[in-house]
Amino acid sequence: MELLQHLGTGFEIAFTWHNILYCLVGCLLGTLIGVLPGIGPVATIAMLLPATFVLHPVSALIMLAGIYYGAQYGGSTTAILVNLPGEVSSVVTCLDGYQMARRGMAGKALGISALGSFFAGTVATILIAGFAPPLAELALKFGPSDYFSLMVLGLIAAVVLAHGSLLKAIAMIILGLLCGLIGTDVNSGVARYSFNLPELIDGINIGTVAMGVFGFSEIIRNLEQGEAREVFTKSIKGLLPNWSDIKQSAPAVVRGTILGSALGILPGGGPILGAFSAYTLEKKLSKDPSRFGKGAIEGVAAPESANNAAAQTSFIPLLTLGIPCTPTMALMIGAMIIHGIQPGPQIMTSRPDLFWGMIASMWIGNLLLVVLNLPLIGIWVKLLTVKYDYLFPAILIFCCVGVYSINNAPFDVLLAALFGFIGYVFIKFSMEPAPLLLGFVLGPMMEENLRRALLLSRGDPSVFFTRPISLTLLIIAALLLVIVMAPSIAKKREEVFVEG
Amino acid sequence: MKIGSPKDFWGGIIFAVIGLMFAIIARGFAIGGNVLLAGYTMGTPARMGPGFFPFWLGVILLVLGAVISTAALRSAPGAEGSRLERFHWKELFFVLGSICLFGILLKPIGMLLAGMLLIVGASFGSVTFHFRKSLLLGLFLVTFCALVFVMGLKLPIPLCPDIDALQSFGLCRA
Amino acid sequence: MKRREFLVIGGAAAAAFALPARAAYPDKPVRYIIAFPPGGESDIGARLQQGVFDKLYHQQLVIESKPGAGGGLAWSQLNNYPGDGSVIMGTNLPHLVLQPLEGNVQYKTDDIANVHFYHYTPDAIVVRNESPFRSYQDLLAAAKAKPGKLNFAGSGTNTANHASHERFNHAARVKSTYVPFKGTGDLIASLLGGHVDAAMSYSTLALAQKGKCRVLAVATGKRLPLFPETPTFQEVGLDWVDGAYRGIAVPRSTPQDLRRRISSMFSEINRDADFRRQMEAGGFELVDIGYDKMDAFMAERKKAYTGVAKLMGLTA
Repeated sequence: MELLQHLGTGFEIAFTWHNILYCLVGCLLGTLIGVLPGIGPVATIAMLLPATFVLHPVSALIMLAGIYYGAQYGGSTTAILVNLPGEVSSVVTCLDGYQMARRGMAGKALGISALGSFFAGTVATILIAGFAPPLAELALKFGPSDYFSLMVLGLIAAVVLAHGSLLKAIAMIILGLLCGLIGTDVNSGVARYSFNLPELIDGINIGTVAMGVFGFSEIIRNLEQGEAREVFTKSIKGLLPNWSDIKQSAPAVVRGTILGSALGILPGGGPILGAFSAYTLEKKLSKDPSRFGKGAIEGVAAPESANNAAAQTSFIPLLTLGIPCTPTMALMIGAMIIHGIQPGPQIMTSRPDLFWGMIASMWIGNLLLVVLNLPLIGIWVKLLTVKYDYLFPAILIFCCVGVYSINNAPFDVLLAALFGFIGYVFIKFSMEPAPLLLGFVLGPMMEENLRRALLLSRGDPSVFFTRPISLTLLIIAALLLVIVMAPSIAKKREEVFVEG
Repeated sequence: MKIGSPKDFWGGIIFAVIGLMFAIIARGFAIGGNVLLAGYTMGTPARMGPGFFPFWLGVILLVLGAVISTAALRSAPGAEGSRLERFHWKELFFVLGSICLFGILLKPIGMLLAGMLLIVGASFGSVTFHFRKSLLLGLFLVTFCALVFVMGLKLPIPLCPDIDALQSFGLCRA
Repeated sequence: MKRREFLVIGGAAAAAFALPARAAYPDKPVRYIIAFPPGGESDIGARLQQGVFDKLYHQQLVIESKPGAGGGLAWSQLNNYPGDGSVIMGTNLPHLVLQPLEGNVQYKTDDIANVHFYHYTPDAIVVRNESPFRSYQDLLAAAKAKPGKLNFAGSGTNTANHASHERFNHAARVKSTYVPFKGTGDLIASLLGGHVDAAMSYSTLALAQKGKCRVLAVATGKRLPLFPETPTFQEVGLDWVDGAYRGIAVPRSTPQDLRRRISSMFSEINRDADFRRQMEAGGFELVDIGYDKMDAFMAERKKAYTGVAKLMGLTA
């Protein structure tokens, strides 16, 4: 077994005391920045990168990778406790995680998200170890038209997230796509919708939108309830998930892991797209979809597993081809170059210690994170008993500092306030912000791939239906749309019937 | 005529207006040969200009908004959750106002003071507001942020007011 | 708990950051903005400089990517940054000359205060290993047989790659389509996946993706030692020796003495033995055009690029 031998080499390297220490430091730092809203792994890794210059390259990469997936774990904690995506990929976790917390099941939600993430991390690590090169080849098969269709599918999937009107959800996605286009057009260099403001020329950061729409508007909503506000129930139902909770979420975890792993390999939006699709899938498969959005444990388990699996498998194109899929992966490339390692297809053979050592350390890191996170749950849950008068100013200042630190731009704080107002209006009109955020992420990528696909086909739109991958994705999207529309069409008929 | 679901009706109008605005800015705007707004190049499907994608998205949003509004007009009135909810301007003002103040003042007066203003100001929005308590809370949180973000994570956030005399002070430069 | 966690991390972070030495410039971390996505030539060059910078000046060089519009996105923002040396930016030629001619970007060539150019990459046509084109002649024959059918990926619009593509079309009398990507780092997947027929790029791309692609021809005066099998464009009958220069620019408000200081710092980095070795292994040709030679160099380059600009349909 060549694989076992390789893994053996990897564990030999990862299991040295200093590498475990760097892995632990990375995971801890990652958890911290994940919990703190606004501060993301990209900013942290960028700042730490030059500091890792003195470390051994393998240790440096192990630590940086730890920050990355530690942030995924930490991000879900904030999502569950205060309905604020600590990381963008935990937007979906807010939907049911926060509702669980309000009903006194924060511990269960945190527990299942840690366990689900660990399972997903383990599976994804095995995938990377066993099948990284063929999977990367598979990812290369995706051309521009296939990416466009994949994003259409992702957006349709996001529609299902909304409990309310289907049309309003689609409108929110389109609005998100439009907001994502603000800033300089990558193809022509024209500044669009930037109203001559230099701060807008670079576009709006997703963190700014998320803090405003999720964080600020939610605070105002809670405050306006006056003394009647009671964000969390006092009775806490079980600190950790029990056996029946685990049994209930196991299938969701498995499905989320599969979806997340697959989407993570593809460049762009892996974790966030994975989380959205996994949630959608669970809601569709559920016998009682109405539970979703009201604290369904599967609604936490599936997206959490998916985003962690995707975070892990997004290393595949990096390690096997030297192609960075996400800004964080791009920084990892930078880390390799600093250490004189040329990222690219030759890395597996030229630096097996690095390749297998990193893979082994990922599993160790995931294990460390579970071991760290489970005992922390008790402390996190206590946080919920803090009076809201103390809690909301803390959230506010963390968000403001976080938003500022994305670009060191005070303008972004003002922009986040504007999005806070917009988010408040959304609440008042019963429009859900989650689809907007997905549209926002995918907008620029969708346009880029659409333009490239049509340039390659010389303007012939049939390219979306003649390429097998693209066609398959579009058929799935159409089917999904029919399934989603069917109940509302049926309801319409019912209404007509009642009125008639 | 009575609007069946005012919430959806006005929500639809908002979407339609936003969509229209995006489309107009992309397309440009001219009255009688006087170009008021140049717009972005549309291009051809094979070679799309920067205006193509946003223009059509704007149009789709306009149509969707219109459909939502007309459906709301015709829907049965009085359904649960269809009425417009009240805006709580006081909470809105104190929270968002304090955030804006923080953004504007962060560079000139530094995070320690701007953070205090943010916390005390936003606390005015709570009905159970207590001045002394919020002052203490502010002190605690500002210190915490300075320790974690500036000292720990080394984020380049100004701590002290932007006065030369203070900048030479070791703690202020972190 | 928060406090305990903080202590651990604070300690680790404090240990990781060595205290900066007291010196004139750079006295704090310098932001180095790269106008192309990571994994491309500009980024790789900058990463290699980063290490030497740290070694020589005991200060961090923090690299930030701001890709878009073939680099124009970042360059149009350069002069908004403070001129105190805290922000420097990577620049590219001929991009800086060609883009303003087209008129969509928000900067003029003379807006950009270049202080140093440090390396050069020769133009090259690269195909993936599975490509049916074994040689430049194969590619040329296919381009002539099917006019307008071949797709060439390249980095950005009105960039070196874009110019090379127009020059190739003109000189070889063929018609092919240019497909712009945000940067070389972004086009690799499309090239390796076979979604485009070839890449109009630099010889460095083939080195980075060793074993996955082939270079069909390079725009150098004589064959590259790293690719002894690959003919130059002159050998295959095109009068074409060119490439892209990469350098450093500062905001216009930067005082003259600071510009000179930054220029000499990067000259010093260029002389570092490790840096030279790593750059040469990556196929980068080092040059050393300092601030004092800048005006003459830019004037000479601007003249050289006008011919290409005409081919691209750009009017001066």
